Amino acid sequence: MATLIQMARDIYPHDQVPDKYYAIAVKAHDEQAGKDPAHKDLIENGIAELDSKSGKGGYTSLGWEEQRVAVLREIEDTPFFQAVRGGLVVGLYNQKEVWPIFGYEGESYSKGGYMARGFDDIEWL
Amino acid sequence: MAAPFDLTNDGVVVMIGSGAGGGTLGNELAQKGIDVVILEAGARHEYEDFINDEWDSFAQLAWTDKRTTSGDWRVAKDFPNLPAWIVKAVGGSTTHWAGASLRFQEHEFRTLSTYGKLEGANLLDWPITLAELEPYYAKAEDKLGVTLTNNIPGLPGNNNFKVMKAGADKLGYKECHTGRMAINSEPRDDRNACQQTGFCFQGCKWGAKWSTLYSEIPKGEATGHLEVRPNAMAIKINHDASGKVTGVVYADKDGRLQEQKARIVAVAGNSIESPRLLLNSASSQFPDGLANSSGQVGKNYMRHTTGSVYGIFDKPVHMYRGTTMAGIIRDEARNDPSRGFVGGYELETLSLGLPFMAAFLNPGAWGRSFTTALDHYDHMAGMWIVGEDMPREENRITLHADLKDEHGMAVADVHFDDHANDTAMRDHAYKQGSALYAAVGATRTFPTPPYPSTHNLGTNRMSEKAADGVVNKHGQAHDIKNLFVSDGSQFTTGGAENPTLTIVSLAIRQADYIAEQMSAKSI
Repeated sequence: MATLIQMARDIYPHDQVPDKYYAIAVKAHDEQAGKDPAHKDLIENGIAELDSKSGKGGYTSLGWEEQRVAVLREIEDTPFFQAVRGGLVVGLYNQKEVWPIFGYEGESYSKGGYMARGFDDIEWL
Repeated sequence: MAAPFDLTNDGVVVMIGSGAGGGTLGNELAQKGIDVVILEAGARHEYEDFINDEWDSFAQLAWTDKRTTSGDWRVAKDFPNLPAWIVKAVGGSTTHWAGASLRFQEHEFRTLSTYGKLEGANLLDWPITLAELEPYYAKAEDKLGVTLTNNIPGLPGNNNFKVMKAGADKLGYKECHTGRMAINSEPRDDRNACQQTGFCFQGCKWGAKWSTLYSEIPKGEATGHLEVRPNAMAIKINHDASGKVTGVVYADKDGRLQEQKARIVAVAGNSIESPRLLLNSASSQFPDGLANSSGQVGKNYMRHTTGSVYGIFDKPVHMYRGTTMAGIIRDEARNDPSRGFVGGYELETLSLGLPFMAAFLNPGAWGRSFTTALDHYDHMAGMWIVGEDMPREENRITLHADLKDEHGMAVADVHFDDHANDTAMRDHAYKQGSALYAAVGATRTFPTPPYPSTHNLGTNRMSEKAADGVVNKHGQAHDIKNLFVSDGSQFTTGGAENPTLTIVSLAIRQADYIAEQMSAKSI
């Protein structure tokens, strides 16, 4: 799980987003692996390959993001990488708790829209 | 009172699809006292039920039935089973559209004459002119309540528009305003005024934007002459030995096949489903599909030359607040081949929420180049490019050789390759959009690739001669006089303008024609 979380952060690095949201985003793979042996193999073998390509300390022992990204570039066309990356697009960015970190306010109808809440409040132009 | 019609009633006019074409035609006919059944593949969600959440709304409204793709367009790689972002619900894509309501330009009805023959393009003049359509454009603008027409005030500009306008002024563009929008700037026609909520693509929860769901269809139902039948997926159009269509076979909400008899059938399932249905209705008499003696059914698929430009600024914008399509620049819509391409394009503001921005800004991209863009989401402004693309015979809808849907109907394959003119236009628009944002201080801009198609056009095109197209200038099949096409698939060419106003105008005009032909007993 630690490797998967690090990998998720290296794929979509946002320094202001805490680890827990990356953990939530990749948790779906754990759950799917519990139900689907093929998915379990995909994830476990994928992590093993990632570690073996990273030298003897494994992926998480690589200290710089760019070192880890270099390993990810080697596997970016694999089904494993694409499953993790693809899952993150919704798994990470569709967490409502993450939206305020990016300044996205989400649902607005219940607040009456932005008519009186700054739809045209830009001042710097 | 909504009128339920019997399956065996062969006096009804059956529409397939309840969007801008089918929903409008249905109401127009019902107002004239003609009995109408609208078969709609999707469910009925009233506007209070719409969801201010991009993925949840997508699950509620989007057409996600399996399709396949081929060709050099990037959508085929990034979204191989989602060539189009359109709607499967009562109201069709008028629930999801942004509301831009522009008339075509005069020359856009005469592209072959104006642009000349272009290698690799199947250009053709429309069999109608702007002058012929103008009275119907006027009716459509009144029906939709288009801002800046009929003394309707424009919408106020939101932050995203203000950035666009400031850049447009810097670049010397003259025609930049908050658009001609079918979104109420004040209450009108039992619709509320816009509350600047955003989420226009997710269905307007105020009902401020025109949609057949809560405008045309309830009015038609009130006449007692219109029934909309949701969860009714058309599979095949039947015909008799004389070659006239007689009814529509559809799968009902339980997946059982039914046949609704009909005096007239009007196909309005958008430009992927409409040709799919005609092709799937092949018979021994019409082995290549209905209305296809020209071989043009499914061909000339157009999707507008699109793309987006997003810019990041050093100060906040909050582009997602308020109307999604909040303003337009029309200066580039002219035909000016000195720019290196024929036809023109509009620039219209656009915003996506964070979830869709992550999915569509640069699909498949990862790493800091991508994520630092999202880090400044609230400092972003955005615009969409919508330009005329070239019709190509090779760009087409076909029935998949092996894959079938749950009803056993072959799924649609959508093939698309950009024409060199499309690419030149898009590159020009990327350059202009980036320059516009740079002129207001953008620190970084993003030429964003086209999304899955929202404007799907041309696959049952209108033509003067039967050999060149599928329908005549009334949308009536050249081959079968009681079969009509009522959606954007009848467009001969695409123009630079968002298509809905033209679809509605053609539907109003078609209703007049159908009523005349019915009273003359010619159909």
